[in-house]
Amino acid sequence: MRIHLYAVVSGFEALIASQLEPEAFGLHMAVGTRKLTSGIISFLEIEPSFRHERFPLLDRLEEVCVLHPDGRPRASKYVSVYRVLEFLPLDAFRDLYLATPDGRVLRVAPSEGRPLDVAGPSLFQELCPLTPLVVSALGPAEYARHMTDESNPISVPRLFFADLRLERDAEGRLAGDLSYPSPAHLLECLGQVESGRGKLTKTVARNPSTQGFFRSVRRGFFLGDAGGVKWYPFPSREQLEVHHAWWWHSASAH
Amino acid sequence: MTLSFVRGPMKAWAPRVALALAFAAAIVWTGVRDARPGETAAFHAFAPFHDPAYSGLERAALLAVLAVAVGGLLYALLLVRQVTAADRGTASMQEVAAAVREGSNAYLSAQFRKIGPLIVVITALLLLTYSGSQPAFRWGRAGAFLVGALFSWTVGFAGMRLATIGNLRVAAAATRSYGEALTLGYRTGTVTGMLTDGLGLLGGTLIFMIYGLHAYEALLGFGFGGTLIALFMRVGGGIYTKAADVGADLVGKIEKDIPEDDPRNAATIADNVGDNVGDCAGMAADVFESYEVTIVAAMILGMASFGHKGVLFPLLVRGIGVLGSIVSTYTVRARPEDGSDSALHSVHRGFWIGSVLSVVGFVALGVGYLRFDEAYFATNPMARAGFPGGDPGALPFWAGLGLAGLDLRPALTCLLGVFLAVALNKVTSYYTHTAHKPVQGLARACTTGHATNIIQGFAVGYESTVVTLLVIAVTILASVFCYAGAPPMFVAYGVAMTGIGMLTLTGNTISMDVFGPVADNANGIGEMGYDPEEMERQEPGSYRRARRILSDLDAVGNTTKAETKGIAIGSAVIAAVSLFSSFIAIIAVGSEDRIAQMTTAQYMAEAGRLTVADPGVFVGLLIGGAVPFLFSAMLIRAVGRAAFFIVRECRRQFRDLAIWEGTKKPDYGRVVDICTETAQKELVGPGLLALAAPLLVGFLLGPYALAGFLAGMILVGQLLAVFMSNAGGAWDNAKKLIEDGHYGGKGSDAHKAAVTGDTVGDPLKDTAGPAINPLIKVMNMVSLLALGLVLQFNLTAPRGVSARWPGVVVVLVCLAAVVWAFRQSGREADGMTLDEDDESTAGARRSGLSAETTEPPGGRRRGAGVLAP
Repeated sequence: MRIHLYAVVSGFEALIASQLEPEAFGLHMAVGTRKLTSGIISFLEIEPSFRHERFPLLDRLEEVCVLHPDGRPRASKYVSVYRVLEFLPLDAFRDLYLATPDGRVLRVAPSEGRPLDVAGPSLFQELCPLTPLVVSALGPAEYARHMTDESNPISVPRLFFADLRLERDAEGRLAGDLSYPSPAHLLECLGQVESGRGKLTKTVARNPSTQGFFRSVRRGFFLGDAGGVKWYPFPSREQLEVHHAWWWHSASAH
Repeated sequence: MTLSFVRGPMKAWAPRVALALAFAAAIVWTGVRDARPGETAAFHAFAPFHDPAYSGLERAALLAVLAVAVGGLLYALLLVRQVTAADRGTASMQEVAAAVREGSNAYLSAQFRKIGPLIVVITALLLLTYSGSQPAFRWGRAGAFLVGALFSWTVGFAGMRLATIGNLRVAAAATRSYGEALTLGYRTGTVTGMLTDGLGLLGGTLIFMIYGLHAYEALLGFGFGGTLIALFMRVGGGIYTKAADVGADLVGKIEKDIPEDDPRNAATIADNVGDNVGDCAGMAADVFESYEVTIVAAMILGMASFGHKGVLFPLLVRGIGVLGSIVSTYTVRARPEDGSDSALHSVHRGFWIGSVLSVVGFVALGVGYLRFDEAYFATNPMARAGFPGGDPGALPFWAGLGLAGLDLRPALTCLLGVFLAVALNKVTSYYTHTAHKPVQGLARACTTGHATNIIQGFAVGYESTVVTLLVIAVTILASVFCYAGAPPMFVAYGVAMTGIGMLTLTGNTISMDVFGPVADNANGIGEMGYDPEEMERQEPGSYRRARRILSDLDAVGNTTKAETKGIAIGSAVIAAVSLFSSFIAIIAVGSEDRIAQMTTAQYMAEAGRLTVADPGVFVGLLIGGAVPFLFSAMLIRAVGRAAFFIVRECRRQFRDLAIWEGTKKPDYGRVVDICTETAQKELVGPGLLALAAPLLVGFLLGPYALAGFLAGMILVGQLLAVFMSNAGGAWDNAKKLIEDGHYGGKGSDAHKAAVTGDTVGDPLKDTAGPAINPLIKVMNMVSLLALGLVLQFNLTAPRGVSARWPGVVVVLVCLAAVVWAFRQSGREADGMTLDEDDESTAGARRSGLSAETTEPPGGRRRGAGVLAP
């Protein structure tokens, strides 16, 4: 049976081998596992031939990731639960899968062309390896480069994050359907990065709740390092309602 | 393991059989007594058609009313054909709708089997307990009870049945146009409205045709039959709908993070069925009994006051109302491009058209018909007392318009009733609609937490109760003012005519009300049955447009449903207050046969004894005031017990990963069965309380205590019903306001607080609150029907021991019934234990992709849904 490799990049960080197809794996992670999981699960499929000395178990996958005695496929075999993203090169990542808490899974393919390069201000939810909610004067691609620049005192080797909606009404308040924590504080932080005094980023919340997360996603998800940025464009509302109706039915309810 | 309530029926039947046997034994003894002295004149059937007191025009009018009643039923049939002929959509939509329809039918069939025997027993009791000598009245009372029960059942069943047909058509129509969907949905509701109008008017008219001015007993029987069935349908439907809703939400949304109307949730079909049995069948039967009880009250009091004109006039007014409803409901339609605002405007416009037509009609009727002269007084001498000095010409100008013999007071009090209906709509709307301050303030209170939401909701509910009561009180006062100086029976008649006016537009009211669950179900069918990609392939944009239409219609339906609740509750008070006068009159003269001979002095003497300074009256008042609370507690606990079983079953089914994957359908039928069984079981206690409590008070403490009991029960019941309905509605709409994109929208902390309020308010507004309306009337009817026996056999009457023993038996039996009902309410149901795997709320899940299924123990039982594997 074919062995897949998945990098879980939200909620927790892990590299997992599995005999399940991605949709089935997402369902298992949300509702099938005995390891009680809450909130959303995001994972990226990894090139099956990927190998790295950091993950010696990968060389023995055929031995360890095998069917159960009763014939059931092996749902998960943990390869690593620490510093996973750091050692996975950008070209090893394939499609992104977003699983709702009740097990609906949406596949998001990476954009083929240039990564989205728009200016800020922006609101980002970092998902892996850290989880702060951040406002920035930068656009998503620029932010990815900034946060993975080693010359930056605060940087990470590789970063996975989501670009969130930041609509404001005529009076400058956040749109009513955005369920971010402490809207007033968020706007204050936004004011600071928009002021032009050189502050490029500001953390709004360290580890906010994922309630209403999928309803807040704007342009999509980004995976970046010093060498480049991959963009996973989030489908439009129309596409979600028509082509992914059940996923959106679940995602929009959480 | 078989659910342990399989052996419950044995336990449930035992007290009922014992009660029935005890009643029968006690009453057979009384039934063989000699007739009382002073019997009325010989009875002649169809007296209105050969009594010279009735003019040819009146006989023709009576036949015209009958024709209108039949016409209303034929109009309903026409609408049925229109609705059933409409497009039924795709196979997947039909599958969902079929499951809902089968579950609804299974519930009502089970309920019929449950309460059918009780109806037969009560019919027999009414037959046996008649103490007069006229066999026609004996059979009339019992037969009318049976007919009233059957009519009430028919309205509930047929209305619900058509709703389960209409919801599919509405979902299909939404794929084409807004206008078509709205029209179909509203006409589905109109069928129930026309059945209510037609059958209610038919029953009252036929009874009067057969019995004429001797129709008192038959009318009471008719009212009691309709009211009793309405009580059971409201109670059972309310328990079912909330248990299914709470169970589906507790396991679905809260525990398993599954959204609403997800086909993987085994309770989702039961949730949709609950909308039908609670909001369609229960509400339809409830309004039907309000409709017929107000006719009964007006006719009884008309007989005792104005004579046959006082009886005919309310029937004619109702006939005009039916015609007005037929015309106005047909005008409700929307254009293809319309939205919810214009749809609501169309619905309200229909209501106003019906109101105007009815008002013009019955005022014109009053000007033409309500003429009183010496020839009329010769055959109806009691009517003279209603005029100053016995002279109709002495009425003030606003009552007589200066025309000879004209008395417009009945028409004017009808008009007050129409105003009351409109005012109650407005008050309810103000306190429960998102466009107004109370609900907006409640939503804002959610931003500071769960507790502030609950506190604020209580305040909104309390305040709305005060305003509602003031509106009703002002209306009653205005009605009393119309008859200022007249004897009490005329004043009571005026109040009864207010009830007639209030429910003149029952056709529109029920159309608006039933439209709500039809639209709600259609939304669910669209959610689960539409194929988005196929629809978009055939016509780009059609899926999203259809979903938006259904969502809009659902919002319209919620609004119309909430607005009409105030009318149902208000009508209960009006009918109860007007019948209270009959109660006093019977105490004054000793039996219902002698009401017409009662003098004002006799009435005032008895009314004067009903003072809270009398310990018996005061104690009765206290007990009566407590009964609605006990009744509500029983229902709310019943919801909790029923929800427990649903939660357990859903958790069991959720252990099957194939259901999560969507490769296997849940066993919807099993959850429907559980809801049906537990709702039937839980009916017994509240039903016994409603029947036994007034008998217990009457026979134990005497008729004055019973009068106090009724007064306390009416007052507190009204207050509690309005509070629960409006507070629940306000909490519900505060949640919707936040979900529409305010204060953070779905998932925000404010939303969580709003969900708490909505969860608290749901059983109040959908179960306990609406059920108080028929409770008030059932206890009223039981008191009136049993009053003659209470006067003879109550334990405070100065008679020998040997003459009191029937009262002793009744007291003991009723006490046992009430105590049993109270204890049953507080118990945990058999089988209410948690398995090991049930302990965890968030993670009782089995790992792996096991293809094993966990078959429900005991196999599938009756009433399984179409979608079950």
